[in-house]
Parts: sequence; C-alpha cells; structure tokens
Amino acid sequence: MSQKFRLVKGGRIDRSRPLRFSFDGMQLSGFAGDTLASALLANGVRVVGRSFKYHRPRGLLAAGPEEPNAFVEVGHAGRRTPNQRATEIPLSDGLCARSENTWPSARFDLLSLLGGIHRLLPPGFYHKTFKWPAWSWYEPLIRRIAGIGRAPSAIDSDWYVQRHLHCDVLVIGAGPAGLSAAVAAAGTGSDTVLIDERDGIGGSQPWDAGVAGWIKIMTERLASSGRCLTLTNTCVTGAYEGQGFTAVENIIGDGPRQRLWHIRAKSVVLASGALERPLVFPDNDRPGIMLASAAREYRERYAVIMGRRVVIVTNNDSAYAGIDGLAEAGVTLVGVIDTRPDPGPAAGTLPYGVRLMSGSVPVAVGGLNGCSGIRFAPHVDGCVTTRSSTHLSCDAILISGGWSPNLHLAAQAGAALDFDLASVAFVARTPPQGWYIVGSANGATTLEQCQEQGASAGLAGAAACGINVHAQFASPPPQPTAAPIAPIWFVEFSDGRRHRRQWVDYLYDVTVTDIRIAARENYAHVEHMKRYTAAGMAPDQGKTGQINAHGVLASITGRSLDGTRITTLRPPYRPMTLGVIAGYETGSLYHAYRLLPAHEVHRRHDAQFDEYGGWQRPAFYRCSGESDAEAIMREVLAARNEVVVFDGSPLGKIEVVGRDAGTFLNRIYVNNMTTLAVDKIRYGVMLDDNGTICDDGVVIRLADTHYLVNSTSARATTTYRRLEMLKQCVWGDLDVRLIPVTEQWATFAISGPGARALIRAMGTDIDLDPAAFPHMTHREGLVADIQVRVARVSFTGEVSYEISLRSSLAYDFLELLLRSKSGRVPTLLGIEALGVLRTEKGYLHVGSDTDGATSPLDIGMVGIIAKKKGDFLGRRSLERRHSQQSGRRQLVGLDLGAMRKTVPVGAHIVGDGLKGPSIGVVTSSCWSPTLNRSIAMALIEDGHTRNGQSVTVWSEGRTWPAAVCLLPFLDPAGARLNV
Amino acid sequence: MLSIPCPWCGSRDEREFSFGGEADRNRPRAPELLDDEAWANYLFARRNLCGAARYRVCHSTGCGMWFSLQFDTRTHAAVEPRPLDGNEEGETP
Repeated sequence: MSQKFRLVKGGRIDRSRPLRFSFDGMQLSGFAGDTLASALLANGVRVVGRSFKYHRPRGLLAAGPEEPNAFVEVGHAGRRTPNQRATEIPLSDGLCARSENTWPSARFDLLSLLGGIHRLLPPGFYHKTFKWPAWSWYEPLIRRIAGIGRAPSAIDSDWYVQRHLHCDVLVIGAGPAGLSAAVAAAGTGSDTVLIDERDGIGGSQPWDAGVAGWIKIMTERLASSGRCLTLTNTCVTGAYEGQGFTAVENIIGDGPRQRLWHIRAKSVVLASGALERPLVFPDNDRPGIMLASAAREYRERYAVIMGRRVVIVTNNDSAYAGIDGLAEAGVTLVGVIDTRPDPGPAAGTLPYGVRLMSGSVPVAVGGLNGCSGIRFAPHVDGCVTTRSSTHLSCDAILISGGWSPNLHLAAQAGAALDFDLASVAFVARTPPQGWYIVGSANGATTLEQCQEQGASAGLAGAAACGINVHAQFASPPPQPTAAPIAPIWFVEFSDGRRHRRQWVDYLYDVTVTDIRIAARENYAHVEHMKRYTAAGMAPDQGKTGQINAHGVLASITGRSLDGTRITTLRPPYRPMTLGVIAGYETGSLYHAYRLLPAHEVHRRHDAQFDEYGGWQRPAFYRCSGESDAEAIMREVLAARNEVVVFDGSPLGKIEVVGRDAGTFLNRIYVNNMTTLAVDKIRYGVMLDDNGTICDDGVVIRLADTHYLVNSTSARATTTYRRLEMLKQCVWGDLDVRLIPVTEQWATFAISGPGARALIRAMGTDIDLDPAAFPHMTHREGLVADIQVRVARVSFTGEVSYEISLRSSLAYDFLELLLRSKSGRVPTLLGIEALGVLRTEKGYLHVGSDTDGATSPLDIGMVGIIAKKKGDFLGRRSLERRHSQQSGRRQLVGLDLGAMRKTVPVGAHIVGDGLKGPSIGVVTSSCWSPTLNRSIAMALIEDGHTRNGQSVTVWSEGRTWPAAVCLLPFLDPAGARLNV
Repeated sequence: MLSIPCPWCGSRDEREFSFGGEADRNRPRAPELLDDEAWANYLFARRNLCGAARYRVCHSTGCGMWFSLQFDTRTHAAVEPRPLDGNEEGETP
C-alpha cells in the first residue's frame, strides 16, 4: 500500500529516511519523524481498533495522549507491550504492531457480531447480573471477552531505573506558556525542571515560522542558563502530597527502557494545555471522524490528510482556524455544520464556495469502516423536530466540541474543579498551594496570553522559593474564550423514534442512551453514573469523553452544570509499566538477603541455605547420599554425643552502657538484672505493656555499668528500636546508651560433650575448668590467638561455649575450627537440628511457642515475677483479672507415646473424644533421635494443671492420641549442662 | 508522599520516619497505683483528634532520633518539629 494520503511536501518528517513497519500483518511504510498513528493515516488505514464492548470499528480521533481508540500492542514475547496509543509510538524500522480486542484483525473482526446484541449488555450490567439470575451464568462468556490487551508471554527483557530529584520550580508542559515559565524561573538562578511528554519543546500546536523561531531562541536561552533540566518524552503521571510527583521518561535508544523520576518541587507551574472534546451526535464514532485540531496537527506536522472531501462540525470558533491550510493541502472543504444558530465572527472568514449550515446538527453518518457522507437537520436547543434532513457526501469529518483545560494533575493534588459556564469547561478556581496554572490550562487562548502568564508564573514560582525577584503573580481568572462556544451536549429527537447511537465514551462504548438509563435507574449523580455506565473508566481515563458525559447527564436530568464538580481524577495520568514502578527491585534485588560473615565456608561444606529472619543461613549440611531428614538427625546426635559448631552470628547483640544501665534493663526485663554479678549471665524475657512476651535472650554483665543484651536473631533490629524508643521517649532521664553491635560480632556456639576438649585443642588462655568457668558465666581471652568473648550459655542442653569475635575474623576462625589439630573435627550444625535440640530441652522459641497473647505466667515464670521488686514493662497488665484467670493457654509438652510420625505444627488440641472446641495448638513438633520418639510442645488451656491428661491432636480430619506432660523431655536436672 | 521536618536533619520523605502515637500519651510513673480502668485507659484509649495534634515520630532510617511533631489530620500539614525534653513520663496519679 502506498502512502496515498501523504502530501507531496511539508511536514516535519524526514523523507530521506523511509521506514517499514507492519500493522495487523499488513506491510506498510512511513518516514522518520512519524508516529505509528500518522504513518497509518498516511497509508489510508482508517480502522485501527475495535471498541471494548460491541467491537465497533474505530479510527483515530486524536493526535496526542488523549487518543481513545487506537490502542495497539507492540513487540514480541518479553517485550510485548499492550495498550499503547498509536499516537504516542514513534515509528521505527521493523515496528510490529497489532490492533487489540480484535480477531482476526481490526478491519474484519468477527466479534463485532456482538454489536447486534447490545440490548443484552445494558448499563449496570455487572450490577444487574450479580443480583439475578446468577453471575456464574455469565462468567465464562464475560471472562473470555473481557479485558483489553494481552499480558506479555515471557519475562520482561528490559530494565528500568529510578531517580530522585529536588528542585525549586517544576514546570509541567513545554508549550509556549511552560517554556516562558521555565526561562523566567531559570533566569532568576532557581533550580528549574521542565518536563514534556512530547519528544520536543514547543507544545502541541503546529506553529508558523515566526513562533518556531521564538521557541528556538527560548530553548537556547534555557540551555545557556545552566539552571534548567529539560526532560522530554517524559510524562508526569502523578501529583502527590508535599509537592511530590512521579514522572516516567521513555528512554530513546540503548540502555534502560524507562526511568521513573521521583520529584519534589517547591513551586509548580502547570502548563499542561487543553484537550479538544468531540461532539456527540448519531454515528459520531465512524472511522474518518477526527478532532479538528488533531487533523490540523497531522496535516502540518506529518503532511498527512484525513480525506479529500471533508466536512467540519463545530459548536465553537476554534475549528475555523485551520481552514486555510486545508485548501493549501488540496483538500476540498465541502461545508461547515455549525450547531450555533448565530456562528461567531470566524464564520465570516469562510472562503467563497464553502457552505455554512448554521443552527444544524448531524443526524446520521454514512459508511461502515469509513465516512461516505453526513446527514444534518436544523435544531432548536439541541432538539431536532423535523424528519427531513440534508445529505453531504464526504470522506472525512472534522469535529470540535470545545476545549477542556488539562487539569488532571491539579485535581490529583487536591484542587477542586468546578464547571465554569462562561468558558464551558472545568476550571481550577483555587489552584493547590504553591501551584501556578498557566496557558490554555488556565483558559488562555492566544499565544501572547500564554507567554505572559508563563513568564510571570516562572518569576513568582522562583520568588516563592525565596529567590529575590520582584514579581507578583496573580492567577488570572479564566479568560473569556476568544473562540465563542455554545455547548450542545448531544442531539435530541422529538419524534420519539429510535435513532442511531450517539457515543460519549468511545473505548467503553458508553452511549447517550446508557446515560439516560443510568439516570432513569436513579444513578443520577455523576460519580454514580460513572460507575454504572463505566464512562471515563477505560484506560484513556475519559480524557475526551468524561466532560461530555457530565454534560449529557446534566441535560438529561435538567440540571445546570454550573458549579458541578468533576468526577475524581486519580493517578496515574497515563498508564505506567509495572517494570518502571519496580525499578531496580527485581530478581535477586527484589529482596536482598544478608549473608553470614563465614558464608563461603558454609557453602563449601554443602550447607543447604534457607532464609531465616532476612539472613541466608544453613538449614543443614548434606553429606553424600543423605536425605534432608537423615542429615538433620546426624547433626542432632553429633551434638548429644560428640561436638558441633553452630554459626549464630545473626544473634541480636546490643551493648547497654551507662550509670543507669542496670536500672534501665530492670524496667525492661521480667527478670531482675540489677542483682546480676559482673561476668555472670541471666536469661530474661521482655514484655510489652500489655504483658505479652515480645522477646527473650540472655543478658551478660560485662562490667559494673556495661551490659550485653542478646535478642532473638529475627528480632535484633525490632528489639533495638524498641529499646531506643523506651530510652528516648519513656525514660529519657536515665543515663544509658544503646549500641547495636549485631553485625560487628560473629558468634560460633561450640556445643556437646567434646566442646571443652575442642577449645583446649585450639589453644586458649581461658581456664575452662567447670569450677572456674561454670554454666551462665562469661570470660574474655584468646582462643587460637584471637581475642574473643566466651559465654557459657546453651540452647542445645549440652555444654556450650558461645564464642564471639570480630566479624572480619569469622571466616578464618571457622576454618581453624573445622581443621582442628587435635583430630577432633566438629560437626557443622544447621538451624533445623538446633530446632530439634531445643525442643528436646523444652526451650521455647518466641514467636513459635508464644503468640500475641502469651504472658510470662503462661510459660511458668510465676515464681520469678513474685520475687521481683519494682515496676517493669507489662507488670501492671499481669495483675489484671484477665491475666490471672483460668482458661489461659499455657506451654506444655505432649507425650505422643510410641508413635513413629510427627504431628503437624498448628494442629489443634481437642478434649478426649473430639468433643467441644479446640483447647490449644501444637507450637513445635519434631522427631527426637535422642529419645527415639516423636515429641511436641503445645499451648493448651490451663495446660499447667493438666499434667498426665490425655488429649487428642487434630489436623485436617486426622487425629493422634497424646498426653500432656512436663517440659523438658530430656535431662530435667541439667546434668548434661552443668559439667 | 509527605515531607516531614526532622529537627536535626531537615525535611525528609515520609518513608524515612516511623510513627509513635500521640505525644501526650505518657507512660504512668507508678502503674501499680492505678486501678484497672485507669491502666486500661493508658493502654488502649487514644484521643484520635480530628485536626492538628502533636505526635511522636522517629527519624528511623535517618538520625534515629525521636521527636514530636504537629500534624493536622485534615490538611496533612506537618509542622513544628520539637526534640523531646528528656523525660516524657507521666505524672504520678
């Protein structure tokens, strides 16, 4: 197909660089500088898509981001991107685009048969089918035909970046108003950012040479100021609180595909222009009907015409502006249908021979996949009373329904948009604080107005940032429009007959009749009507249709639009890719793990890593031929019979220093910490003020005013922050400082009957004799010539030495341990085996064996609390009746007899005979290789008084008999520990 | 996103801060002297004012300091950051 609608000369395209592309399988050609839309028009492609509901053939309506019809899919596999507007896709060689929502193509779409059943798809369709007969009747059909576009079939092969930006003055829109504002602001020395979604400076209007020269001079002044960052191909998608903005930059060429800018500005100049509205009349969705301003842009920017014989339909003067250009392009203007009985002064400038049909409205448009002619008839106040109409043959129709200031971003920032009867548009009477709305977004209609408003706003914006300029900016009131307009929201017929449909929202197929039905069914508020009919809810966000929908509803319900609020406008202004929102946080960066300082050593010993509290930690170490369970059992038995080493580096470590360190800890722990002697260790439980357990761990007194608090690994950060909060907000008068040192110290627990011998073999100056260094004490000294802290604490129930040393030495230290000269090589112990060891000993794990209701009374700390003097966090709550009464869930053991299987964690405990409600849950459960039986811990109502009682464990219909027993399962006297 | 002034670091993004509740809700100095109702009031009752009120905020991913801030729940204006005066504990009943 040749480019038969391309003019032989003119336009801002590069005719020396022809480009080939395909659309719906057709091989077509265009030029560098084209958009996909202009190239399709040049090739005479009129049907570019189908509507969502009825699959009506649709053509290009607009030339910019407001386009509601030409949604296409571009690219293949991981680069396949749905729902792109053809008007925004720069043409590139080999571009492959397909229409959406069509089969097999936009021109021949079998789904258009749906158009015949439109009466089965009334407004409020979902609302009604949910009520009767049943959604399930419709669901299979609806699911198949619903949705626009296909998701990509492979992982996104592009990458995306994000940046933060702070500036004094943010100028949105680089038309004459925005450009003037940016030059003025940058001229004062303020940090200025100028953003436009188009690929260049100058805005949407096709300017003559004089204005183009002015734009060039201003652009150069902006560049030479050195104060302005200009971002083109960048769309500001959202305006948020605190003058925060997001903007998506399409990056041309190699590198990332898009960049998301997070912008914070002190002043904002909104120069986002205005969008032309279509007119609503029967058959107004025919391909070949286009906005008058869009047709002018295609003609002057891309040298493409819509047709050879055109008719203009308008209700205002702006459509007359491009008439001279039509004749120059060799297009015959057949006539102008002006809905106003008394057209404005512009009508007087019509060239000789052009028919002017004033006071008329279109009543039908001929054609199916294009225009063949238009019928019109006279009207009185929008109502056609005659049955006769006149026909004009034409191949394109240019329409103008007036202009709407593009105030999406101002509305997102909280500005109320009210309808202004004088300009027939929604305006922001009170811009958001710090905002200046200028240019046609502010009702300006001449170039001079845009330039003046922009320049004064640029200066005022800079002045508001504290820059010393003498400028006063008063937001000018919306100008009385220079293109007088008489709104006509749709065409009414007095004969009561059924007439052809009049389309309000193109993409979602909302007609005047739909709005009439919505109003009749009492969805007469604009927000209700919007949801009932879906007008303005399509991916185009109603940029062209929404205001007409307001007008139609007001006319139907006989209300005035004066003061009507526009329906809520939400971000994003334009669809954003999920990739650009994710930015860098994909793949391995989606959730970054922390690695142990000796991670490499573990890896070399076949550690099977898993995530525990944000750390990658060895779950177990696999020897050749072992199953997971066999490996874990081997590690458990090694701890009980020989010696193991466990990497406990993530263990939370907080140094508490100061004269009042003991007092502070005494208020935080259930246990008494002031009576703890230097070099002694005590286990402690922390509560919140509700009396529930939030962390536990040991406290070591290093010196009189120096403690080391150990918290659970997973809670290291949370507990530190909580202590800081208490220190700063509750007990600011205490002399205490908190230093989180979790990552500064690596910790290795050496545990088992052979632990002492192993450390001796490594060489140490610490006296390891049990009498000199008993359980729950602390020493500092040298092990293998490395300065270490050694704590005799145990989470395994065996003799254990927790050795802490500088993190940077962890790698070497673990290597030394595993190459012990004595020939006694310790077994590496993973988290899973540690879980078995601590369950055998009945040591609780906060968060597993306790929940958000467990108090220290429920875990058997009654005696400790009774002995403690003074207040501590949560103490008062433990005295409430609720904390003391019967029926509380208490931690106990479960004797599962000779059963060979384990019970699931989370299984319910029910009374004997499966009667009554659940009385508790299994909190920990494992196979004990030491005891050679299955064991479990559980929180059970009044568990401490049920010792020996038989209960039933229930999970998903299966049951196991069990008996409540005391903890621990192994070595209640601690004989293995205190040696 | 809100821009919140820290008394030490200046205005920063909302995401750098964590919220600590109403600034005038102080822990009683002697909880053991309170009856159950008064203690429950401290634990659970909040004023939830509509409009401007003072709240405790921590610049948690910045300097780590707690401070108080006047915040208006209607306009979202965050102003007058103030360091805590050291002892925020409540009065003895």
